[in-house]
Amino acid sequence: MTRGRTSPCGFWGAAAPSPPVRFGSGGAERSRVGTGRELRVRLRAAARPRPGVCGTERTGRERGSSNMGLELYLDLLSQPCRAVYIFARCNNIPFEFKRVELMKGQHKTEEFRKVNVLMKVPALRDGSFTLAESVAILMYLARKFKTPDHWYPSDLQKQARVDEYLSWQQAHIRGKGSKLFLSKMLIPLLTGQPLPPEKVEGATEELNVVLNQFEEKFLQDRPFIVGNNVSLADLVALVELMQPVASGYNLFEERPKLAEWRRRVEEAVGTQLFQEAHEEILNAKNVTADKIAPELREHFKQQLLKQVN
Amino acid sequence: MGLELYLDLLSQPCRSIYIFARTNNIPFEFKHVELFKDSVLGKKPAAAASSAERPRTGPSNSEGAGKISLLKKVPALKDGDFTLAECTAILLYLSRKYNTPDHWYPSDIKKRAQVDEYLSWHHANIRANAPKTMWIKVLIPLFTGQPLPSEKLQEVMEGLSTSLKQFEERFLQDKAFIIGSEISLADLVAIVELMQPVGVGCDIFEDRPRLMEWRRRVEEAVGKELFFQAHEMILNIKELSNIQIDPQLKEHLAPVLMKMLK
Repeated sequence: MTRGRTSPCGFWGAAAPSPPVRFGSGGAERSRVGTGRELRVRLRAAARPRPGVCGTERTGRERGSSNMGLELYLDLLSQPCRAVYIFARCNNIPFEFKRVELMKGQHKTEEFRKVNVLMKVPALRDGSFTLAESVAILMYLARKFKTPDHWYPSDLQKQARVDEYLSWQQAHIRGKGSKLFLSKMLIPLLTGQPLPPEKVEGATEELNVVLNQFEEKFLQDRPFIVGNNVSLADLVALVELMQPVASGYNLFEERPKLAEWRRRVEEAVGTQLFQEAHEEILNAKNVTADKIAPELREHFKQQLLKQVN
Repeated sequence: MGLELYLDLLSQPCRSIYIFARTNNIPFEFKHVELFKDSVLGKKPAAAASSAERPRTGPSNSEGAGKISLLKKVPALKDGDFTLAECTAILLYLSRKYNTPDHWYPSDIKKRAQVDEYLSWHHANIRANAPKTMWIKVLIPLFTGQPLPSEKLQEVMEGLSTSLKQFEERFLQDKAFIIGSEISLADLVAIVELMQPVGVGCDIFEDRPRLMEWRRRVEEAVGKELFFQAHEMILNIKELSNIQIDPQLKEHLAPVLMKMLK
């Protein structure tokens, strides 16, 4: 099967379009998207007070069992999934959380393929309408649920600034942040040994170049990327920066302006929600290789090594 | 001072903006930036490239281009005091400001989402490999003086092939255009990228009849004359191979270019 270089995606980098993986006799690891997490999320949501700009909480009915409601297919280890999750929760958008565990290869199952033939998370299903790509999903949600204007301003120039950032970030903040995460954490996890220090240093240096660009061009002296309020640009930026942070590179330490901006963004979405969304990735250090389905380990290893070379 | 668009038609994103503005009769001043003459072939060497495919213009003969965009790339837009980079952002800005026909970026939120989805996916997929064909077949041999091993091109073509399969399966399917019966920004952004390998002799439409049909429809929708005018440079790219390059510049750039290929 021909397999070329494909895109970085979330936690993993490329999910190459190989034939869908089936978990056969395993029993427990039946290839279905999990629902266990939903209950925990529901309970936490009910218990939490609602600070920040995101308004008052609607309780209970938001996670109905209706099959015709909005479904979001997510793995919170993935940066774009976190952006979608935080945005939806922060704006009280009712949805069913469909967990797709990348480490178990659930994004490669036939079932998930029906939702997204590109086999990537995040993915959205709204009745018969399916959608991939986090930026498209965020904008769809913003429009459908008429979220507050500051998320994606109707002002022509402000909107253009959000578009500009969301486009630039793919190859830059997202690209370099992912690369460092892979180099520092994920690849060593899969291969059982660290990468040569020059590789990690190189990836760190590349990330710092784009961080400088981010501060100089996009943030400058403003409280947020666009004007005085949080937008999709800030949300997408911050969840991406948490990935290298999770691998042990504390990029906020020597960048006070960035650290301040981070604090503002967290407050704007709700500190508790932000922390909850990042719980898994911040504990990723504790993941051991045996948590990853063995038939996937080799495949992931090959994919990821290509991305950092 | 009206709208200014800083463009080099060798660059795919520049072509999509050029075609979009022209086909919609958007009045603009074409500020020609010649990536290779001004920064790469010119007396002022390019700044080190940090992004995958496009060299930075650096200080250029047309001073405007260097100043207006801190990111120093093409395409760039200047509208009074407002400057903007990034192809997608520029296309959306133009479509909104000049109220272009709805089908380009439909007001129906599901169709709009389909355009957004394509524009996002495009970056890391079609655009990851298509530009490399030009680097491998024309530019790198031009600067290093020798061709690359055939496996390099093969790898890139395989990657492109995979992306094209997904393009047909997810985005185009059996429709006339990506969103259905009418052309949108998604088709435009896709087609200009796919003309890059065509220009250097890797005709990806050759054994893909459905894609070829779609290409014909896109050309007609924007206007064949405009389409070919926009693509004149890339379709004659082989002429670039005859340019004499200063050996010192060659030496300076060769490692940078090789790195860009990765």
